[in-house]
Amino acid sequence: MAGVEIRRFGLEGKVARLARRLGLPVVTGFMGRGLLAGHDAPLVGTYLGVAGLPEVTQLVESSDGLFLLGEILCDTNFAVSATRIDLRKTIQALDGRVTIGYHTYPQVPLAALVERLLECATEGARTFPVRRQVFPRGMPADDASIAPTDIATAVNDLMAEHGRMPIASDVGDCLFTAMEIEHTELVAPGYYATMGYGVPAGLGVQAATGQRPLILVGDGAFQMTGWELGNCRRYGWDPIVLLFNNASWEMLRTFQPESAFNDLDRWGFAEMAAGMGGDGRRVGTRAELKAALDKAVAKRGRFQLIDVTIPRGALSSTLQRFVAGMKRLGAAK
Amino acid sequence: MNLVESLLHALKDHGARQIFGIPGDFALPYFRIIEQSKILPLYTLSHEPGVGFAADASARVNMGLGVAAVTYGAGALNMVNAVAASYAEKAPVVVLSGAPGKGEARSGLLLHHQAKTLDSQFQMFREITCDQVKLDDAARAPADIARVLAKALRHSEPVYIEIPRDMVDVPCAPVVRAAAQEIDFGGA
Ligand SMILES: Cc1ncc(C[n+]2csc(CCOP(=O)(O)OP(=O)(O)O)c2C)c(N)n1
Ligand SMILES: [Mg+2]
Repeated sequence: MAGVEIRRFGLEGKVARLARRLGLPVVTGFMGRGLLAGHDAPLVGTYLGVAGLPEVTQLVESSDGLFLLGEILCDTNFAVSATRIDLRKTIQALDGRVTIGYHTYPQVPLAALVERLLECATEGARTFPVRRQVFPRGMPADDASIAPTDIATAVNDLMAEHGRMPIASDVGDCLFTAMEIEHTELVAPGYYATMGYGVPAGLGVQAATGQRPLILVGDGAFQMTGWELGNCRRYGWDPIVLLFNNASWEMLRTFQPESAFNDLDRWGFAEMAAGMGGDGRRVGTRAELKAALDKAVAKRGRFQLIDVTIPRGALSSTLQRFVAGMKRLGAAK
Repeated sequence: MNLVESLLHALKDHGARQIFGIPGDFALPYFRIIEQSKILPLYTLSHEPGVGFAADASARVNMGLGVAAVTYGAGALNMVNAVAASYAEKAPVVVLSGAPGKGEARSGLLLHHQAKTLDSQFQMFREITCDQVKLDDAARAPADIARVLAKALRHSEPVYIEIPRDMVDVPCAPVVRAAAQEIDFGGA
């Protein structure tokens, strides 16, 4: 299981090579989604425990030698497991040390470890055949209302036609929806889970790479830091923003449906865009979503805000699996 | 070279490519040097959480240092949550904060933006960064900056650098990068 440290220390290429040489399948955790996107690793998918694809969950939870390489040992990565991964039976390389069972080897930086492993692992005949994860494609451009998974599908269609874009995501159902989008570079607070990250992070991505980012953000999170889009015009940034507007703190509603405070007002974000130097469009059907995305891609030089009306209670497939899985775990306790 | 120029060259030398920030009166002097020296481009945003998040994302995508530059108190403390996020998720963000000048600290008055003691902010950031320094001694500054930036990269965690506003123009030697650590794999 490859974690964020392999990215932080610039080791994605080497880890991909190591996995190929050893013929070992690779997964990432929730937090590490987007890792190895541009590398030829035997990447099976994202481990999401009860919320994930059964074949990935099965592979990880039945492993007799789970190698956690730079993976943060946090609940968003591991508490989603029904069978409880026994960390004593894993090999952990994190924070500059390696732990195997009850033994800890301090002062082994990840880069040095991977380098040394590559020296030791000879080019073998072993390979691990990987069935690539299939992501939803071909969103019908019809008059149906929009569910989060439609957005993932539309983004997959878009990237297939126009090439991959880096993604910055906030927390909320938009981040679960991101798990249904083709592997591409992703920055998101998958562990610490602070709202307000998506929009400013997208600006950071464009400033740092010059690439046009896609920003995924919920209405609640956009209320926190969406104003930062007003700085795009000065600097020539032009992100495409997909605002999941369900007039709701929907994540919280899934935990506690009885609370009325989760009902937010439906703000007119689309109208605000013009005053901030961008273009805004409100969409309520899949046909409108497709048209708005096509327009947004074609227009360069101004931020493009797509204010997507989503009915309250409409969850992405991944969040539905997560909620159902958590309920199953809760009932079993 | 003055103290801030030495710091900016060191940031660039350690892989930083841009600075996100919002100034305030305690930060104006070092922001002036950021802008005029053009050593790294400066992008100002609207609210400090955004500054921290943008710097975090730049660190993640560039696999190098992100830089978040703010003013003392109201600015820096507005960014605590973002820096905590970087700490938790291991993004090497360098927090630059302006601060009262060394002379001002002795006036006996409470200074604006001061929460409890003048050191409260330093203590708060100690909890969410892996190393900290207050650049109140130009002779020691190059070694301190080298240590702090090396630690940010080695641990891939945020660090905190405080710049008293009367220190910015003090002459300062360039920063020499710390040597890489030797690793011993035993008998292998
Ligand atoms: C800074 C911060 N404050 C509060 C929370 C608690 N919280 C988690 S999800 C959520 C609601 C998110 O709403 P929205 O952005 O609209 O996304 P949705 O859940 O509707 O998809 C809240 C308030 C948080 N994670 N971060
Ligand atoms: Mg919402």
